[in-house]
Amino acid sequence: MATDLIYGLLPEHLLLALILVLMLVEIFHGDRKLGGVLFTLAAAAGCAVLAVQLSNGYTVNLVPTEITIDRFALIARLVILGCGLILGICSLATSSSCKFWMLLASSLLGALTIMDSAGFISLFIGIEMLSLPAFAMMVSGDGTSSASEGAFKYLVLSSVATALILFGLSLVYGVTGSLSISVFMATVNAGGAQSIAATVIILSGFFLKAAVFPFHAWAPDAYSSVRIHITAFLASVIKAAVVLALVRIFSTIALSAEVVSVIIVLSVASIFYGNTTAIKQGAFKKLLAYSSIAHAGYMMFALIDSTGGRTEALLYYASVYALTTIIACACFSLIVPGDRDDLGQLDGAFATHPVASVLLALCVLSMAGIPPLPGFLAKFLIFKSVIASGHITPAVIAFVGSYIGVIFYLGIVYRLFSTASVPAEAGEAAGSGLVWSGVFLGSVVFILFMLVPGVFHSLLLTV
Amino acid sequence: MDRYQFLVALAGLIFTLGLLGVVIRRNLLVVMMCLEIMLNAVVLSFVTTAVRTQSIPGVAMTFFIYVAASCEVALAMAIMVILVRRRHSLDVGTFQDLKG
Repeated sequence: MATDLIYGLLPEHLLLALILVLMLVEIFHGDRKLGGVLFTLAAAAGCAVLAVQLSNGYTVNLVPTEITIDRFALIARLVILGCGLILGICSLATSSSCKFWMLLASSLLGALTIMDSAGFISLFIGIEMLSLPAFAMMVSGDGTSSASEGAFKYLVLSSVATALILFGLSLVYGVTGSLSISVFMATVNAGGAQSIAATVIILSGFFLKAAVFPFHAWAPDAYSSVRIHITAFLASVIKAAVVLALVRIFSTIALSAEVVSVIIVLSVASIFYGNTTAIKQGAFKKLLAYSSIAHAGYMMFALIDSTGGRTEALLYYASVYALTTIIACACFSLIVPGDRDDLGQLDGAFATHPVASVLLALCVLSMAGIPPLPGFLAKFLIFKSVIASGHITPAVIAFVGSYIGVIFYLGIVYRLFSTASVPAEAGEAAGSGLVWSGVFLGSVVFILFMLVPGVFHSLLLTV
Repeated sequence: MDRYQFLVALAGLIFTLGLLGVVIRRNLLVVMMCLEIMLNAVVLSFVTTAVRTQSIPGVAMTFFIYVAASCEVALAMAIMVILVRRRHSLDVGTFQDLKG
């Protein structure tokens, strides 16, 4: 048991040790470059440990009703930590302060805690540990007033979301007298009006955190006011962690008809609103924010599935979306150095930055869902499970909505390959070699996702 | 209505008041206070059930809620100090740099 406590939670322990070491480095004014190197090493070691545990079929119930390491916990932690690692390598050149790495590690630690929680107490602690460092990360090292304004909006709405989730949990606790997720799953459809109310309140809290349509107000402000690698972090790791937390809670159970109708309306509205508003945007980060609202809609759509394909579909969608967002942001920062983010900077970028332009184009086409790319397979898995559950009309409407999104994604591709305009000034940003290595690593994983679309299906089944 | 139902209903009422306050009040400090009111309502609801069912998880949750709430306030105050230094105002309406 003692060895299980160390081995089972080794990735968490590594991140915790990293945070402590970075604090010491900061206190004793050690080498500032050390932070990024140590983070990369710890995250890579964590990923390796998780891969070994996955291949050995390691599962353990560490703390009954609070922490359990199952197949989903291993895969989801590998996804989150892997995205964190790629994002970290891409930000090595831009973030020299230890504080950034400390905050990134604590946020990832929170995400990992969510994934292996079997009770709502550890889930709640994980959610708080995921979002609190993100607010600090948004304001640290960037004293602009818009960054603190965006962070404050995010903080207030995220706290409201936390309070909503907690209130829903207290109703669940009133029905079941327990805070364990398995007890909640057993009673979610059998507890009458109070259970439905609790489910809807918990879901609205998560919708607020994931920026689904009527609860999206913070996302464009928060995303556009910070530097691009932090935008990438908010749109990838945090969004993936929130979505996977929902998978952790609702697993494969079919939700009741009332809850399903709420989810259908909100996710379809989210897809249409996100995609139509993104067309008007002239700045890359804003566009990313509105497209992330649409993507949150697709991911929430998978919750109405009743065939049990939800876990696989959401794991694939969340990891592909997080990965493409990270690569797209890294490529954008390679093409447009500095803090400018209007789309005009991309005009004719293919002439000056051919590889980065092609990669950025592939990423946005994948987000749009163009067939051979993994983004298409991700959407396909979600629509497949929704249609198999008998919700054909909402699936068709959402499908139409997803084609509106193709307009602005193709707009970016058009700008990249247009020749008529003045090409952006050439010149590599400092330390772009490090960004390239992150982009390279990300692209390898991207290609793997494309070649092995059933990866999560087989991983979830293998025991 | 027994006293447990009354307390849970009271918690719901306080929670709604807090939520309304966050949405309609314009002063940053009042918005933060309303957030705390929401969390306190949640704590009341947890403690009521913990007493009714004589179980531990609700009491444990209460401690963690207060820990998380104090971290949140500490961060919010720090960000607010940056904001107020720049704007010399606590009014949410003056923050118009970012519009959706």
